[in-house]
Amino acid sequence: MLDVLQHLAGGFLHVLTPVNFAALVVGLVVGMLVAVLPGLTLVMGVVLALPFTYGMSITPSIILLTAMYVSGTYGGAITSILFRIPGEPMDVPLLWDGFAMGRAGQPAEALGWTLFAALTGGLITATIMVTLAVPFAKIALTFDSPEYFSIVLFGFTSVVALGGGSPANAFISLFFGMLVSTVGVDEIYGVDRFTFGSDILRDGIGYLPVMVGAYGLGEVLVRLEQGFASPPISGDGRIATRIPSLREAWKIRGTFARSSLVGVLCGIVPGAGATIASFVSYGVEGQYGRRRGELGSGIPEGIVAPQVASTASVGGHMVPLLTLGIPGSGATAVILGAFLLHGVQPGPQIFQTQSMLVYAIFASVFLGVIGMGLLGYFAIRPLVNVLYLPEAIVSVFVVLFCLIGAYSEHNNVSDLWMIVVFGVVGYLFERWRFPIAPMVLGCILGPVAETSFLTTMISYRNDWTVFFTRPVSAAVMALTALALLYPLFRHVRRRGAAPAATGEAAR
Amino acid sequence: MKSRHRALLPYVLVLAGALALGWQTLHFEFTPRGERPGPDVWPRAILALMIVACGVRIVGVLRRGPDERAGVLDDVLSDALPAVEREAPDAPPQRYPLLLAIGVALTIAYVALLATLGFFCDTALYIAALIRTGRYRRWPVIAVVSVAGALAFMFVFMKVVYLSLPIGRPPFAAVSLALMQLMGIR
Repeated sequence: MLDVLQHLAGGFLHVLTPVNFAALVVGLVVGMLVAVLPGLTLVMGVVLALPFTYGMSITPSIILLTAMYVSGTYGGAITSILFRIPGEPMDVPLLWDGFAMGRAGQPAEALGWTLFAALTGGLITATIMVTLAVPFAKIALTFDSPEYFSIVLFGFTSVVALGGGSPANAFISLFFGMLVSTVGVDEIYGVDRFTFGSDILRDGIGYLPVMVGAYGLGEVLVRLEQGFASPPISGDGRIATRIPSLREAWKIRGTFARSSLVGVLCGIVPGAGATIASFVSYGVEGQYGRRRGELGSGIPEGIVAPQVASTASVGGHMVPLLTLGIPGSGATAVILGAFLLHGVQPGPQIFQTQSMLVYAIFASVFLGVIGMGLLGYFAIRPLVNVLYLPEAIVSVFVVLFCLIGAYSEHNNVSDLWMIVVFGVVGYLFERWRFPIAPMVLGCILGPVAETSFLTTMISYRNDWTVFFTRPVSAAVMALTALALLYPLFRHVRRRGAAPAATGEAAR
Repeated sequence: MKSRHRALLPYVLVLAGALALGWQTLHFEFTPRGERPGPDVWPRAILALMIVACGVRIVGVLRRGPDERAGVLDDVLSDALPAVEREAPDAPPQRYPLLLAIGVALTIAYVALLATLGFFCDTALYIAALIRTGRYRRWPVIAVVSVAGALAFMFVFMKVVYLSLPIGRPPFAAVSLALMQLMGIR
């Protein structure tokens, strides 16, 4: 433990160097701005920032993106409370009590509870992240290809099972992403796969155009089709934050504890992002909270539960990302992309080969949470002003960032064509209700899954039972089966509940 | 019936694409190496799963119609939040397919003309055209934003990030070169 603390202290010093600190501050500001703007999602913001990291060294790159991720979990809460516009899907549960409290004449109190909750959730998650990551990495060092394959498979299935909407659509999205990752020259045999004689396709399709196109351009196309019709902003102009006293916070310590646990757990499970954490935490409060009957009427518990959980999920997500190289959410998928673009593969070895980088990331989460609190308290007025920018103008700049960002990777116009193609794909996915996150994860983790599967088949002479006979792999496969069966169980339960409800209604 | 056909369309398209690509995997040219799985095994497995997923959805739509299956979040809310008054879902937003078509066409034109017009001219025109397509009508603001935006992008990416952006062909190259000289970009 002393060793970890020593490394962490070194990490803090590393983050406080001018370049890294500047990356942290820029990340916090941009992350919060992106989260405040309803047209921009947190993941889209992190994607747009990715190309700016090409010229940086890896440490400030990851610090920048992580800081955006941390502060992005708070920024959207401001507009939820003040204007009833959730900046992010994760802010929807917060809106019920946050806006109600604001409407009851206590917007400063509502903002204060949110800020306090984000700070608490962030600091708890950072502590748990540091505590869990090293033991996780030590265990992960013993993993072989069957374990890696089963873990990636679990990541895929939980993304599908825990996403919204139809699981079949999520699977199709995932398979589409995995298929995209197979395009190009096969590494083992040197065979062209799905290239159709095109030189552009022979180089393969990078995940960057897929991510930037689908998340960035695709989202703008969806909003353009709706005529950029964001709801008008209305408010009384009194924007202030009143932080609750420690005594007030202590009274709802149970809510803080429950929500932190939910947030960290949802973070560790691949696929359950901040949005799921926020909703589940609000749901848990609705079932077990002391004032569950008053939820929705503007009570602090209804603000604290979703906010603590969504910020607490950040540290949870970083654990599988850093120790196994498996992203659990859209934002961590982009951060993984940044690692790979700099030639660093996250995994258990990174704790030995790049320990300074790892501890600088840990330290940046701690400092990022504190910076987010300061920024949220002092810069709330200018942050809210960005809402008055016309959506058409903001969207054009988003598209340009997407295009130039993709161009800057190889200085190649063919990457721009890929962005346009995947922008249209992203639009069609949104239109036809196929989730985008599984496609992106499939595109990034598809090659990892293929390599670990083929390595296993070669090493164990095509014996596929090895996935079920090795203890860790078998346990993860069992979890995968559970994740697969959960939507089925849900479906059966809903179908069972429907006739009962109909019967009661008939009576 | 029409809505059912519309709901089936994406799955039929994906299914047809998956079958076509599956046929492609039969024609990968490689020499097998002992018992090692070939380069066709992995894509074929993905395509098979994709076909199954499409089949499940097609059968589902044919049997039950284009139902919107609830996700986990809906379940969490309906199970755990009797206290919160759930609001009726918003009415579907109005759609402007023509705006979408113009937006896509403008983006394609932007990429196609980048090498000819050069970054500055192409970007300024694109910004102006797309903002106007987005139903913003204040022309003085559009003019200022498009020129200032293109200049800002040029300065940041060429001067600060050292990115080599296309300067275009004559006569547009002259504009790019003049601006580069003004900004001190070499």
